[in-house]
Amino acid sequence: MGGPPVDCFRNPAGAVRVLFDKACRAATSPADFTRSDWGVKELFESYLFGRNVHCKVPEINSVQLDSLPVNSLVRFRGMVQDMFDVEYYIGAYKEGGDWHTTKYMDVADVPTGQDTEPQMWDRRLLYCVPVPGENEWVKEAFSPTDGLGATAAIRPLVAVQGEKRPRDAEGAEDMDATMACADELIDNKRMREDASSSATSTSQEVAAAAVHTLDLNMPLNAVGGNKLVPCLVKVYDGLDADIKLNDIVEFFGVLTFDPELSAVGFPQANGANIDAEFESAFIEDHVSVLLPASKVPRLQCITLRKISQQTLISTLPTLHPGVPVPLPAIEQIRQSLLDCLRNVIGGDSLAAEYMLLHLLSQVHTRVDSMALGKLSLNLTGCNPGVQGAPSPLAVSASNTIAKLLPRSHLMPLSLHSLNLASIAPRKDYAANRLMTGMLQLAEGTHLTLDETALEAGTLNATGIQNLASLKHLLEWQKVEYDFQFYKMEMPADLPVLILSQAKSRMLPADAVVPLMSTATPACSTPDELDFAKWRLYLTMARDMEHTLQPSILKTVEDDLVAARQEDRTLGPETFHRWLTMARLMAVSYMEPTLLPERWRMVRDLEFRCAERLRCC
Amino acid sequence: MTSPIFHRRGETPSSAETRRNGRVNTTPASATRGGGRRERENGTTTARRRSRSPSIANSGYSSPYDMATPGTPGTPIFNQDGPTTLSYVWGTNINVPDVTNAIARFLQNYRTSPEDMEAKYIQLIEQATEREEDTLNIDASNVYEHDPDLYSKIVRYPLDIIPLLDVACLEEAVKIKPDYEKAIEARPFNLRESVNMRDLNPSDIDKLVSVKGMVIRCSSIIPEIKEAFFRCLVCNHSPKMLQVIKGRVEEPTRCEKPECAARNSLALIHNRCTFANKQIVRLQETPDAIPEGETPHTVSLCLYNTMVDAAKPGDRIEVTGVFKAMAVRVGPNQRTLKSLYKTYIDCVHLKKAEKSRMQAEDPLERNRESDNYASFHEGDSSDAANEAKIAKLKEISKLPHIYELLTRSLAPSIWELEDIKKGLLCQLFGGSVKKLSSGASFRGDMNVLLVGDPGTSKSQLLQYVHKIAPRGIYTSGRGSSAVGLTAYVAKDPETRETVLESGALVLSDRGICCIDEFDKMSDNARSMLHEVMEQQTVSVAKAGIIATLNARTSVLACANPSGSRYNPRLSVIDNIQLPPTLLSRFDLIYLVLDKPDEQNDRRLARHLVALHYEVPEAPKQEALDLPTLTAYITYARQHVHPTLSSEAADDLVNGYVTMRRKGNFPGSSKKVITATPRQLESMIRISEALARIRFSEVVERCDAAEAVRLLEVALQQSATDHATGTIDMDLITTGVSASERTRRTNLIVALRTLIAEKLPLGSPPVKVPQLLEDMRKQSTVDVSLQDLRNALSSLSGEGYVSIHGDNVQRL
Repeated sequence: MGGPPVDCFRNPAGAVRVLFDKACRAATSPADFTRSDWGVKELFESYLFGRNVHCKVPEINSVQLDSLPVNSLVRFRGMVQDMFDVEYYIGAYKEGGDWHTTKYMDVADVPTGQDTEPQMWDRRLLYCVPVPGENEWVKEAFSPTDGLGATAAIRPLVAVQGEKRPRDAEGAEDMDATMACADELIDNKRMREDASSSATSTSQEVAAAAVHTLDLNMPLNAVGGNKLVPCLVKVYDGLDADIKLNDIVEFFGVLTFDPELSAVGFPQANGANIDAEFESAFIEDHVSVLLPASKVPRLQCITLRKISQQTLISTLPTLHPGVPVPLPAIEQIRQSLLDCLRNVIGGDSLAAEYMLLHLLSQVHTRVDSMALGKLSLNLTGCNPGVQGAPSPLAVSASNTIAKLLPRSHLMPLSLHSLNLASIAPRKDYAANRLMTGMLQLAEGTHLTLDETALEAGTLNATGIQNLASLKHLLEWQKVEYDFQFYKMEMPADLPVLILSQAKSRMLPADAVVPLMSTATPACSTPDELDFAKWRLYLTMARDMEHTLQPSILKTVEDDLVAARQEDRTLGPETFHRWLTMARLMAVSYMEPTLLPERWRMVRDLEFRCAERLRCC
Repeated sequence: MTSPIFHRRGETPSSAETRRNGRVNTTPASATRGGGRRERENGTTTARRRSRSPSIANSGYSSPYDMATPGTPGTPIFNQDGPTTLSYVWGTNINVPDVTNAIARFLQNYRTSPEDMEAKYIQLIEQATEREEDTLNIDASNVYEHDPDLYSKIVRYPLDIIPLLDVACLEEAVKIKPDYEKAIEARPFNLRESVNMRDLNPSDIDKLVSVKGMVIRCSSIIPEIKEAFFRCLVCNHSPKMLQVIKGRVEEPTRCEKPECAARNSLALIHNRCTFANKQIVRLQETPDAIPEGETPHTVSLCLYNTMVDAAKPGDRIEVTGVFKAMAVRVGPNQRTLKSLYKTYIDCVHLKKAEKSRMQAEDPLERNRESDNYASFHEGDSSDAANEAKIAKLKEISKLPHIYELLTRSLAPSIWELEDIKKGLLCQLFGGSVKKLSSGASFRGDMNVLLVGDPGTSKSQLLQYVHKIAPRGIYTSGRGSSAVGLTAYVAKDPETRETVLESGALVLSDRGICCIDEFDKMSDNARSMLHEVMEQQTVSVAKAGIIATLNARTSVLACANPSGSRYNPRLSVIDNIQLPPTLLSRFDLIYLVLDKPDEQNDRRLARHLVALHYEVPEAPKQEALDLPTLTAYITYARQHVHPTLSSEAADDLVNGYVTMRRKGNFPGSSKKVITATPRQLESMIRISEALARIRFSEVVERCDAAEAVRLLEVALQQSATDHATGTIDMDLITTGVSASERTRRTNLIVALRTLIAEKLPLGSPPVKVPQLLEDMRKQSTVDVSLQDLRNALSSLSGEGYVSIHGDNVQRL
């Protein structure tokens, strides 16, 4: 079934129509094809994933938007930032005795008349933003640089002039191979590189200025020439059933562009028409209409996949063929990573151990309100940066983390930014949108908070709220979304590294380690291959299943009891930390179960750390 | 069935014309009603009538049966020709006269109970006619009870059937009062099932639905023209009021008066047109209906006439109305339609969730923002659900072991500390505020202090209370300033720690202020607490203005002993180093002492390991979950205001007297003050809280007994005089125990005699160490240098001796 493969790429609408016509012929009444997708999803999925060409589909944000032909198959990888209301549309109508469908089209003209038998269907609208804080290497993993040139057959066809193309259903068919000139391709490539380099610089840049492009609602979109665009995804047939807010999803679908609707919007006050006022009262419903199509492309989703750690594990090796799978000599890799971390934080090997565990930490269970598995780290004894610049340590640490973890962000806490920034998302009822905040981040986004940037001064109400949000996040790994009339708690999983001069009193971290720089011989600077290995190692370790053998259970228990008998100041918090660290320690050796040895290592680390805390 | 129905408003004129051809004729009844009354010049009532459903209004009201259901093959039986008595709703096999008859039967025959003399709705119509009302609420559950078939017709074809309901109501009204002219709008409500907003789908279009939600936005009131009044500018002739058809007024181009016949001379006279009110409201899902990880859905509502402005943003309402879709038109005059539609609900009935009952005389003035409290109120907006919830709470309150159950439910992850938890529970429930006619008031809030060793989960208890408590504020004593509405970030110059100074007390008005590290609070801030804890106000003196802010807060504080661990040999005062004046303001002072207990440690260890490794744990003890507990406390605080029964009052007095008497050793003249009136007040508050726990309006004897016990337990721990073993309130009120004071007095007496013996008047001065040695020789108990110096200073105060450095001289 279906047409030749090239159809799916260039003319997905054509492929859809073929299937629809087939379904119509088989159907006895409109009801028969109302609640089905006529095999569209199946066709595209078997084509994309079966042949493993899904990464060859041109991706919005890695290819310049205006070079993507309208009505072609594209993909978009992003975080679900907001969920709009359901949109109702006439999905099928009859004209001249034949059924036509407008599914997978943004908007279409429907003839009026008695015999059109319009069928009303609905679709969900998801507002997705480019994954906030996503690091460069992940972008490359999902859109390989060489993919474009190598497969000429499916490279994006450069549209003649985006806005002047016919947009009706027939328009799609006109799009047979336009000659793609070589220099245009080069142009594209350069543009992409530009975009990527600017992205790198922005992620390193100070996010201090709390200026957000709120209209586009990108959580960490700091100042700078970030050219990434969000995307309005229209999802059909309940494909979004298990998609939650802040999930990272890759959508495959038809890129549509209908400037008519967004430009005109609704009729403005029209004297002759009493309805005008009535309709204008509904304008607020039409967020989708108000978002300019040139800035927010529309994607009619045919199929989608959630991006999880597994996706990353399966994708990573393709990027660096030099990395062997499965990873050999875990201990060696672990040690080399430790060396690297030690160098970054000024040659402190104890802190490096903590850093490693911290990088591996993630919330694995929630019991009552408690989030288990988190290990936020507070490194004390960091020097502040000169003249409001972020601490040099924060910069170097966050740069390294950016190369190791898929998503990360450096947030210098200055009074100014705390007082101005919106950290927790809030609902704007006037615009009927969820206004994003810095903490609306996908699971596993690493945050580096630079407390050394904080000077003495007065916090206003926003600042207090922001600080409370951060504290709440640290304690419970939850972010409160402000819905004005009530608050909604959204679970989050954001490992937080706090850098401060002395122990942070405002931001309670799980583990506090005073930095002690010891001069150690600098090891060789790691190359790309090292990083590739470490990434895979970290991702796989995080994804590991971990259990406890009953034999060790007793040892741990006895040890805890003995420790408490010895030192009454040890409370449940300490034990939580030990147990979390024990788990992470085992995971760092890629061991599926806890060994007594690892437990001893954790106790030793904690002992040395407590020793230091006493000295300080 | 599928019924993608075109809303009239969304259609272009041409399509509307074509559609009208395939419509049924009108019944005589609706003709009478639609046509006859519409003739009247005074159009206020008629205009209102038509405003409800735009689709009906727009079609000129000549026929209500214009709703097409083209998607149903096989059933379209319709009657093309006019004057037959048999007519059908277009596209269905619903016979109009049948339905009319069914409605009439329902109105005439439905009785709430068979014994009722008159039919319920006839009575209601009669009332309506007497009051000149124009609405009649029809409980849909009654319809269902009487005629399920009619009910389903109303729900499935509201646009056709509701007008028939109106007509039938009017007919009944006319029977009662023949000259009755006003239209009666039938408003069905209380559908059997209300749809979840996110479950609305295209098949609900043009059906009657009932949706619950919260109003988030209201538009301003939109006047909608219903009838237009024109006047000829040439001859002042006015034609009849012109109906608005499909949202348009056909402006007459020529004066109809034959002798004038001026062209384009007619002007619209606004003052004489009739308008109806309309409002667009946005409704959002209530938080409990939102699945985890999703954002709330919204839906637009169209409200008309009396419903306008009935709901304000933030209100929880339940609306019944017709779900409609409206085409998105790109240009005002474009003939083609876009495939996009917008949906809204045309309301016929609106019901506000009764908040007042839940908030009646709320002593805590529930804070909307507080998520802790929200869980109860936001849980369900419907009365029934609330009732059910309250019933459930009441049921829980009847459990014989409710007190123990609640104690267990409070911080279930912390073991032991039973009595402390009981005390905290009392604090959460609180006593009742007493206002005397003289204006004096007694606080109902209780203050609790926990003093104890580090690592005894004091902080967790605090955190837990903070979580449950209304307007809980959690603050650390370190760096807290009592007032100050903004916070200040300060850097400790020595440690370089950054600290936040916040104004916790004011923020926690009518809540519980949890203060961790109370001992580390600055004296300045602490002195502010004196006023807060007894008068429940905070006075701020700034720029010549003295402001008194309310801070009706309970204080829950926890402190570490002055040394890092509690020293049992010292008194509480010495251990916590808090001014006694402040200490006496705490109703309950608990010592959380960590007694090394391997059993406990092992339980803790096992629990934590199980948490982290999902090892199957021993069956949990029965406990209430957090939302239920919160709801329970909220309800009790709002609705239960116990008063002391006379027996309980007697018991409390007896308990108090006994406590005071306890210090009297038999046969001893030494009088030890055991309790102060403050403790009696505390006892009353505690017993009231205990009654509240049982949802009892009366404080019973058992409450009094438990209150006495709790206070004793707390006092025994906090005020045990380690020298004598008795309860000693003096320890708290002055910082020195009575026996200690006796000892000091004795020492002074002994010293005086010693000096009298050794130092005759005019003799050379003696060194203090010398005196100490002499005292030690003479005394049986050990005398410290400090004690001696204290005694000497009081003697010098009397003018008995003079002290110069180490030299003591008799005067």
